[in-house]
Amino acid sequence: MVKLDDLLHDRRMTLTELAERVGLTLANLSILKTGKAKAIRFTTLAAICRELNCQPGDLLEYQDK
Amino acid sequence: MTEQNLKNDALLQIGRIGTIALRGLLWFVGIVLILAIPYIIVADPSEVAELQLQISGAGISTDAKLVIASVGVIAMIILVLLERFLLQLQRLIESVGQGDPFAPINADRLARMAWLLLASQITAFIGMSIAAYHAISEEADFTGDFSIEGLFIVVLLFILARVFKHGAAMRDDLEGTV
Repeated sequence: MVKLDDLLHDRRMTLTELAERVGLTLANLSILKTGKAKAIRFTTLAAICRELNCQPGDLLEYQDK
Repeated sequence: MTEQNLKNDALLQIGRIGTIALRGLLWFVGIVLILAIPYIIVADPSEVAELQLQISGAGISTDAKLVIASVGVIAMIILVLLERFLLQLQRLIESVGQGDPFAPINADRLARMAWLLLASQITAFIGMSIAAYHAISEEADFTGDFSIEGLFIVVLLFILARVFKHGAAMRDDLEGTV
């Protein structure tokens, strides 16, 4: 599970702003936000954590389905 | 790469137009054969005397109209196989132009092309063997050998099909990676 919504809300940032800052298209970031992504590159993860000032564990959570 | 890029890529354009043109030619020849074969079978010998002269000049016995007809049918089969081969190639080229060369269906298309080419080579060999059996002239050479180059292309196509299958699997893995 990707907790991007909560982090964006806490940081008062929109998805569009974050997409511009990390260098991803809005479409790809939306895929990540909605949990439809199959994989995330380390570079993408690092860029998101840098912009949101968080740790990977703040962004990703494992849920047993 | 979009449909627009198909128009901008000269190689793809040439390939696409070439395959369409060749398919048109094969269709035309096929229609001629469809009309000619029954005519040859039922025609009065005097009406096909000139044709028989040409064929006997090539060293084939014209006693049996069935021989001429069977070689014609084999030619038809080869035409159909080659037309289907070119259709697969055309679809492959179009998919590259659409920016989707590693779609799983392209691996299937390449495998089909390999089988079609192999089938056409086998059919041509059979046709040449029939002509050789009915040869009346020692100078006439109808020995049907399998073309090494043709077999090499068949193997190459099967290998390419495998490559594209792996490419499609890798693309599938990457899809959804952000």
